[in-house]
Amino acid sequence: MDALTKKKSVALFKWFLVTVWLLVVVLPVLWVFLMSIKTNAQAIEIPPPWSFEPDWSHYIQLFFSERFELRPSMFNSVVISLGSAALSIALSFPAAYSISRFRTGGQNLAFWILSFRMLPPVLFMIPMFTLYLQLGLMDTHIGLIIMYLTFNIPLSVWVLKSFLDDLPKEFEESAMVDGCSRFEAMFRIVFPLCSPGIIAVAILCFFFSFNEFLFAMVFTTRQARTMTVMASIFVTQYTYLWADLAASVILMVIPMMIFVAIIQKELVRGLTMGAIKG
Amino acid sequence: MRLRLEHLLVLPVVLTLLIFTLYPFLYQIYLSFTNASIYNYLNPPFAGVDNYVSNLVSESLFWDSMRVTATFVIIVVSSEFLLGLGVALLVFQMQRTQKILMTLFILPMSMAPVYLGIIGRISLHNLVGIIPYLERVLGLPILSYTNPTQALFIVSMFDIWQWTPFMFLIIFSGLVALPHEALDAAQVDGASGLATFRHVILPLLRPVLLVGLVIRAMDAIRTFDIPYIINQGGPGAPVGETTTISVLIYKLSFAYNRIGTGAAAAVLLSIVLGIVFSRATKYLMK
Repeated sequence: MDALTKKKSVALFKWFLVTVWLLVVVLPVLWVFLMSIKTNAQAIEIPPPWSFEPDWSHYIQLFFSERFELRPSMFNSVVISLGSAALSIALSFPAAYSISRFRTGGQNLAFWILSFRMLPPVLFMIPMFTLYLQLGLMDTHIGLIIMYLTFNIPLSVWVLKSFLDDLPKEFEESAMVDGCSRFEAMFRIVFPLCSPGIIAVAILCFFFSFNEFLFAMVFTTRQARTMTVMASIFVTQYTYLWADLAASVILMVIPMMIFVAIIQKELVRGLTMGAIKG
Repeated sequence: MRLRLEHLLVLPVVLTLLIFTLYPFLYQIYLSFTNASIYNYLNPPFAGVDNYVSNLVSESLFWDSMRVTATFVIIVVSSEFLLGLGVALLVFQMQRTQKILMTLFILPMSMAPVYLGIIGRISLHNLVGIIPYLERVLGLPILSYTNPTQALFIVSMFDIWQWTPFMFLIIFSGLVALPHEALDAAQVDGASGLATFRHVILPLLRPVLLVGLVIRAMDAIRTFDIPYIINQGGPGAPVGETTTISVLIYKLSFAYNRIGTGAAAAVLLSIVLGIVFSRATKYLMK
């Protein structure tokens, strides 16, 4: 009986710890959500009001009010993130295929590509800044898309390589016996078979580009300004609109949460550059 | 060597990445010996080793910032590792609720660090923030990001909130992939929970833990968004209590318009990281 009570209290204690951590994780997000459905004045009322009429107007305003310039920056963020994800996969898939099947460049090439993921982006910032000024790439979508390739290409190559390593060679080999060229086999057979991996990589590239701040702040001013930069301006320019700000945070977090849920199975592999197959 | 299909396939990636290595690194080294600013970046006056002197000796910019960065990296990576391991072990023992708990626990990762910084800044506001209010209600000391002794701790707290889930996720997936036989055998032999952890789980989990630690450390070194948004690397200037190396290089180049000095700091950072990487890869390859 004694052992049983001890076992029960240990289990109870474990549940207690898990609950504490759950509150730590969920409460801040919940707090931001509550802020977003208060009025701007209530959002910063101390002590916080416990009962209030939910005010959903901030979400509607974010999209339809001219005041925030939020729509252009949302559009920029989506265009730049999609562009960089697509370009990165277009460039990286053949490379990953070549490295996976032919061991091209041995370990050196693969690790050289990986080192870009390890280097802090700030190392590229100054020379690329002066180069962009000279080339007129400042404040353009394509400029930022190219900058984001520095971290999207290593991610794509390594994660796609890890998916390709898992894919049996027999499919393409039998296609090549049937008269397909290696190039055709790669695009007609391997590419579709690899689609779960490609979708996961595309989402991760989109995710990191969408959340990126340093390059976005340095390389854009107005035309190509992204959501993250807009949000940082939001704080200084519209400091009284706390509820609107909270609404924009929630609005940005929801799609990212959906994305994370979609690729949950491939998430670990993606986040560890294919080193751990979750 | 004949150019074959496999070489052609890697060519686009190699060329793209070369644009980001050769040119920037050479140009960065050149700029680091000049007085470059936004007005004369095309033809900057030569400055000799002045930039390196201010970084290493006279203003000690680089060293001060590296000290901040190293402290930050050690605090956050060790906390995230221990918390992530603890939470992963707990969730691993929960049978039915594993899936839902995992989905909830990785929630903080989906918030962009910039947004977290902004929310953090508001919640810490002395008059309208929720955190000082709760601290007053509970009779705790009031945390303020303008207090030099607390600033780095506060920035670390937000980083830990955001990235413990990363460690948790990686360690948890490692636990799930553990061979059942080993765990069952330990249980049959009557090993206690702690003994199972030390002698069975930990050795099997070692590679997973290493990958998590390395990736997290690399990402922590480059931290920019949260310290910059919360207090622009301050309190203190030019190297404040939360001026990580990324914040320093950004501020030198764009806030103080000392592009040459920023470039010198970046060159020094590449040297330090180069040494760390070569040592680390040697150690990991063994």
